[in-house]
Amino acid sequence: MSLLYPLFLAGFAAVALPIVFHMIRRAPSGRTSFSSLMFLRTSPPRLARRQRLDQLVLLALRALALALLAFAFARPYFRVAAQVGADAMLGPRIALLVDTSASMRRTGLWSAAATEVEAVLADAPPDSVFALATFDRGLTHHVRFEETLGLDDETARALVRERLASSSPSWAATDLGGALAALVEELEGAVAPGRTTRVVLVSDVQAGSDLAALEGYDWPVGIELEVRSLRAAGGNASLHPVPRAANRDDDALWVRVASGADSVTDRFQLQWSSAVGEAVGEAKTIACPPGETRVVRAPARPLAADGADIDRLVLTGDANPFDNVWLDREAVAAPVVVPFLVALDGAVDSTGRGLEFFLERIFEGTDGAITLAPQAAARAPRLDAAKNPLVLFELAGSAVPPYAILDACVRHAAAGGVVLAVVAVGGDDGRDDGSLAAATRVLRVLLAEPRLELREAPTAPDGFALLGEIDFAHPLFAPFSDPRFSDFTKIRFWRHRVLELPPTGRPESAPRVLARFDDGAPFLVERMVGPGRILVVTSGWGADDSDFALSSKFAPLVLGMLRLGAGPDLAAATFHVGDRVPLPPAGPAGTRTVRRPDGTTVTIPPDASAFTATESPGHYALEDAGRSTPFTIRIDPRESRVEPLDADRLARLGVPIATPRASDPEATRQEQSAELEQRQQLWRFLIVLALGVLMVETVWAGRLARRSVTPVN
Amino acid sequence: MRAREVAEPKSARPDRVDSEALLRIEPLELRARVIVEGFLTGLHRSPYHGFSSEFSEYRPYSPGDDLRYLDWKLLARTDRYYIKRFEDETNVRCHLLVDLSRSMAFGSTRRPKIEYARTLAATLARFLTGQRDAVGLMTFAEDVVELIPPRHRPGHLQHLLVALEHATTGAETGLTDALTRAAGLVRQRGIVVLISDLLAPLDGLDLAFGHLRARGQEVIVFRVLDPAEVEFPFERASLFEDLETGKTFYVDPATAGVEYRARFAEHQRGLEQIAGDQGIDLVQWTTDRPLVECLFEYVNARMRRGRTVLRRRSGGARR
Repeated sequence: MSLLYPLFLAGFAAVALPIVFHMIRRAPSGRTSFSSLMFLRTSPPRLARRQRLDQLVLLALRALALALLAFAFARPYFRVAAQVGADAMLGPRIALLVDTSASMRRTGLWSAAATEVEAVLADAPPDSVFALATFDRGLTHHVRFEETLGLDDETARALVRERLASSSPSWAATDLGGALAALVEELEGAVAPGRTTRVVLVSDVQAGSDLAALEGYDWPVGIELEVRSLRAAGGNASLHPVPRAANRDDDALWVRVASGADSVTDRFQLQWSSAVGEAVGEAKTIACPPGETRVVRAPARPLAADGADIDRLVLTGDANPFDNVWLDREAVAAPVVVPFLVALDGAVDSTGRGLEFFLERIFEGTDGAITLAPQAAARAPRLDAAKNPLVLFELAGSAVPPYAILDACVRHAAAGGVVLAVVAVGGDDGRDDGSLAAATRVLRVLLAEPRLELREAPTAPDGFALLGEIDFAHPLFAPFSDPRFSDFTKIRFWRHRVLELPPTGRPESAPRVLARFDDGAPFLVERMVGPGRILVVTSGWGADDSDFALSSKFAPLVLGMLRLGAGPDLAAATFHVGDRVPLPPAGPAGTRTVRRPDGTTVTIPPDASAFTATESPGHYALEDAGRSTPFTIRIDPRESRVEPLDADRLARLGVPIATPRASDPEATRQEQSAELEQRQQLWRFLIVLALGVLMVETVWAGRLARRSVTPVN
Repeated sequence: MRAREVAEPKSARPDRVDSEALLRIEPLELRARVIVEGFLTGLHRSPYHGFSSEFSEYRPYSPGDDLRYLDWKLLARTDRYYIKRFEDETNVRCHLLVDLSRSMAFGSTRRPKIEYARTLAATLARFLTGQRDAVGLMTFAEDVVELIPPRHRPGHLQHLLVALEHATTGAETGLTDALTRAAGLVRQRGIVVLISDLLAPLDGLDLAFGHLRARGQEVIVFRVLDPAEVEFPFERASLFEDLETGKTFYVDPATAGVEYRARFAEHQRGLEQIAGDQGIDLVQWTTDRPLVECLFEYVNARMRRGRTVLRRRSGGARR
């Protein structure tokens, strides 16, 4: 039998306490004042009866209880049984998880990672099973447990080394939480009886790591995480632009230079550079002490001398240049023109209360980026889906527009644009002047529903209709889906039309009602035409029809339609390495390619809606039928936060952190002892025994007390 | 002369004043008055007024005597010259010597010895003042604390009573010194009443009493003791502390009690021996006895002895 905490045996000394307390009463405690001690002499007191040890049984019982308690605290266990259990165990499963995020590109980190992996392989006990995975934004398996299960120790290690040598750091961000959760879930699924499982994380564990996946993740029992953190030398400085302040009227680029706390220098240079890495223009020196940030105005972009594209701002001076480039291409904003096709014989809007008036108020605020182009619906307009993402078509007059116009509208939608037809027929008194019939014919073409009917809605009892049913799942209404913004009941429609759509056997291509009035009549109907769409509203926003234009919902809705037609604005959007770049619908030619920064091209399948091979930062370009849409992929700014993560952050998220396996045999032995003691738990038995002894003691003492109060004659 | 311990109270004589109730009377003057009145009531049949000095009537005039004391009435009646010595000699000068040492503060009963002693001294002072005797007071501990010469004048009694109220003090009982000092003070015949527990070494006491007696003083010693001092009834071994010196040591009464009583008895015998040698009245009281009763018994005993003495003297005269 062995003891886990032999120091507690000192508690045996407590057995002496009752005896000591008993004896300590030898000294008289009282004090008597007496008039004169002249007749007295010091006399050693005799040993009174009470100061002799009697009740030896009681004393023995109490001493036994104390001794049992002390013994229980010393946590005894049987070593023999322990050894047998330890020998029967198989080698552990060790899953190596190596960080390959962009921050691992810092000087010396990747080789340090290889060294750590080597150390883990060397320290692993015999008969260990290995797995190797790397992660940045996602998890990549290189070696699985099944591969090394049957191999001898040396071959298994060699396989891990070989696979690790074939991988290298990427440019992507660090999703540490996601990688851990995914790996651990796989490990948990593949149980291995007789083997313990350990995940060894080899990473710089930077503060910019994404741990969101671990929040609320229930880490499985039995899998421990051992963290081997790597430290880079030399410090890091990063370069990121500052969002343009609204009150800053110059067009200059302002950047934030952040120097890490461990930086060795406080002088950095900012300089523009071409795509081939050739520095252009003057360098600007920035003084930024370690641990601080400076917001500075970038030097003016120099003019390109020989046609080379000056597309990046480079920070020099720090030891780790992986995040020192800001890719910045001059934005070429093409002005957007919204054609407004007005019915030939429609009433001229002289009151300032018609459709055009309110639209102009919206586009006024865009500083000329969007302009309204009213034109008579007399001949087919020249429409370009890129320049005219939205076409407005007012159905007001009694004359039917030429078919060429309708055809142009449908083709425009097929090219990805949006056509909005506004049914604003009828005079002020609501009498039929033939415009309803004309509008019906136009809508039958636009919505491809030859059987649809259109009529003036009866006046509602209270004089107006409200919007009653809105499809907030549609991209047009999705921004309003939040309960704070979804109140459309303040919009009143004095007049609207009832559009009767016959049921169709092809629901997928049938016009879809996005919003209805409270009487059930459709307000907004959508027909998808290829990548584009044709929208029909059955009530105008002019003052005669409704107060829709005065509502706060009006401008967002119109601009939303514009955005639907324009598709994703790749040039303005921010994409990081590994992001999925949504692509606009393919043009009629159907062959789309993406030109990567190194000049190679990737062909995009016709049905692909996104480009995912964004593996390195740089300027990309989407080529579609001669039209080039540039977009830029940058390093995730979180990768620049390379200071170490809080040491206990992972532990706070419920991850059981294991200390690196000590090679100290004494520590190992102690650990085994603790484990075996935990299994045997002899101390519980001892505590119960002590309680039993105390109960016997109580009964015994009670008997003695009864005996002593028995009257003696 | 044998010092007598006041024995059991006589059942025939009812306790006129409850001792406990008496000692509960805080003003010492009032307490003394109660005792004296009860005392006189009990003595009213007695032809003698307590322990006065010997009665002497006239003596023949001799040249040099103060003519103020000549009994002119007698001269006119009998044509003989007699001096009225009576007035001069029966106005006793009494010195009360009261022990205020700390050992007097001991009391195993409700009242400490000092209360008893004060009450006794106050009673005597009032009684003697009432007899127009001059009473003086000397309180002492290790040294003389206060000294008030004997006088008979209004307000003197108050002074005495105030002096008696002093707290106990002193690290030891300077009995011998106090007696020697008193012997130096007294010039005329009188009575010296010593009220003390006499718990002090007997060395030199014999000589001190001898001085007083040589000065013609009648010495009465009231020894006030606590019952515990006589019987030593303690049972628990404990740390005993000397009230006077503050000295402490462990005493187990089981073993020390016997020795205590033996040594106490030896001390007592030595005291009686001295008293007998010097012709001193030694009266020993314990504080569990009522004061009035003790006083009464003492007076009775003294009266009987006085008659005996008178008889012996007259008998002797006859011889």
